[in-house]
Amino acid sequence: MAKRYQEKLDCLGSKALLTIITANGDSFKDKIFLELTRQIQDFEKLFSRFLKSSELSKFNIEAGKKTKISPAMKNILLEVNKMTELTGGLFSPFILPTLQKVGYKNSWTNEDNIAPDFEDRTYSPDFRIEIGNDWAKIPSHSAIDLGGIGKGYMLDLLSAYLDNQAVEDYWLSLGGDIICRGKDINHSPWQINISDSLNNNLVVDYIENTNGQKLAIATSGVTKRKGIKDNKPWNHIIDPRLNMSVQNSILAVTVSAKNAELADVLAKCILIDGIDLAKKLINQKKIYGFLMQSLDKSSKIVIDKKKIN
Amino acid sequence: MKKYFLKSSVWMTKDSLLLTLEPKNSEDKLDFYPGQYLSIGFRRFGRPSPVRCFSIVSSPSSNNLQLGIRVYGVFTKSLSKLKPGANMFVLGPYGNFLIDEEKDKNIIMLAAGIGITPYMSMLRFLSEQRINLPVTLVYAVRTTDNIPFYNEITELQKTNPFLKVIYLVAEDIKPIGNQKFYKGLISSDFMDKLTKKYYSPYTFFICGPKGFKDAAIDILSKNNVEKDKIITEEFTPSTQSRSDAEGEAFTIPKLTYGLSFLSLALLSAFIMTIDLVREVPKLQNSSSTTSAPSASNSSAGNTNTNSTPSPANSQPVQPSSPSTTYSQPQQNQNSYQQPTTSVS
Repeated sequence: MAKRYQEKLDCLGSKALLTIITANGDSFKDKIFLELTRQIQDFEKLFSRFLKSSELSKFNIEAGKKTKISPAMKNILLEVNKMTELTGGLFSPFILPTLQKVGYKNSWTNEDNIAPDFEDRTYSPDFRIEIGNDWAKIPSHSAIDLGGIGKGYMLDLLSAYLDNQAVEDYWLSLGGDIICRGKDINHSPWQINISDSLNNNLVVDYIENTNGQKLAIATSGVTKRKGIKDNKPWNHIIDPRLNMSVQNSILAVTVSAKNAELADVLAKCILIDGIDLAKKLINQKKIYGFLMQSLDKSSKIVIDKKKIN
Repeated sequence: MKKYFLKSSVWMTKDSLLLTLEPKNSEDKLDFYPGQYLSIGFRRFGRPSPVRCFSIVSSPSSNNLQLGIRVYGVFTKSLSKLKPGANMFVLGPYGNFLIDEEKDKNIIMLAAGIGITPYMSMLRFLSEQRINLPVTLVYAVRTTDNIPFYNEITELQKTNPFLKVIYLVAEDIKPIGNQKFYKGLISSDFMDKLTKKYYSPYTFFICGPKGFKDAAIDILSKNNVEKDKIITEEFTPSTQSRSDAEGEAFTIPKLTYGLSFLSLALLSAFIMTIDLVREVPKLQNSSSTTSAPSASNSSAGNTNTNSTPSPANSQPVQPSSPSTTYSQPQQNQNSYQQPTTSVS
């Protein structure tokens, strides 16, 4: 008889929730969760900018030089370039120096971790990553952050692993980004709640994978990981066109798409660029739907949405 | 009288309930200020129930009304058993427990127990509207188990840089994450440390049981805090409020409200008593409070607790259509969590 299992862990500066339904018993479940956890922890060790010892930090230190990289690093950098091109530069990994300058320097969950400082590095919208067979290179005096793509990319990897293991019903969440497939234990579609941008306990809407299809959902917003530095408010979403924290009336954008990487990246881009981009991406069939929470002229929260499950 | 229906009913702690009410029609939506309260009733055994007053937890900008309720007596137990979709009627709003943006430039909110409820509406509103008003919330609780709205307050702290929260715990302190808790009761020493013995810049709001409220007023009075800078919550329209302190007490509308309210409450209590006499054999827990509770707000001065709610009561309904509702209660950290996407 199929059972629903759930595992929770801390990773990538936030919470991960792993949920599977299987009739293969506890030992199978243990094997699956162990592997998922291992993959997440390995990913963090390689790609966290908050860890001095990560491959990403070492790569940034070597900016300007051809640097030998792992196959895993190569794969994610290829995806970064693909997303940069897809979004016309609205997604850029090179915003790390700006992110640190505005105030987002260290991990919000682990204050003991002192992230390598790249505040003195520069940024240009024209920066690109050069990728070779087993090497990559970024311009000297630049530094990259994979935060804009990392959670989505990781979720797609985990999802592919579950598909390979013939786990048909699951949902995985990394820091609020979610990928799901199949059905819940009662054979109903997975219902993904969308939280109020100002209060995670409030649910403003929900979305379902009606036919059990794979569905990825990501939310990006400016109501967390923000602060005030030199009397100026900042948030962690950097507009690469202006090289500063995004300043508009949008509080959060939730996007559903065929994979988590797309959802993760495009949610941020819509947050930066606004509702017209959301509509355009729907017309281009790059995303299934979106929900935008923003403030109107009288500072009340308004919701714009177009949902296609 | 406004017509609402029960949207969801969620246990926040073992004895406090969060009700979400949705207006039947757009014209039924109640306009109110953060910090006000209202009275609600419903139909019970085919008759109108008594009405009782409860603080509004939701922000005025929300379409739905949310009420925080401590379940301790016949009325609130009946309320806790209502199913989503039940018709409710709402009277109000009432009360002058309000922030005056002209006067209150630096606020200290003193809350005890479920007395947190009116502050939740204020804090939600301040955060939503991004009103840059410095607020220190002092939240006195008995233990760190089951603190109503703990998760939400933690979130509000993260989103509102002008909000500072201090937990004052009377008894058991069990660590929750990195949250700091201060042991003790409200006292002169504590208030001196909080204000650095410089009381005059602050407006003090007080809401909680009588002992807590009296102690706080006593401390503030001894430190020569002006009366119009001490705002207390009272749930009958005839009692002390900001306008009372300013000499505007008992205007005709207030008196009318008060008398109407009192008459309605007495009538309701009478009907309820008759119902109770009829229904006593049906009640399983006949040893619980059987007299009709007075028309005072559940958040003031009531620390009675009753039986733990059944799990069935703690399950919120699935929204039938996209709407604002409360998600799963977060009392049991080991329970299954639903997938939720949020800003992280």
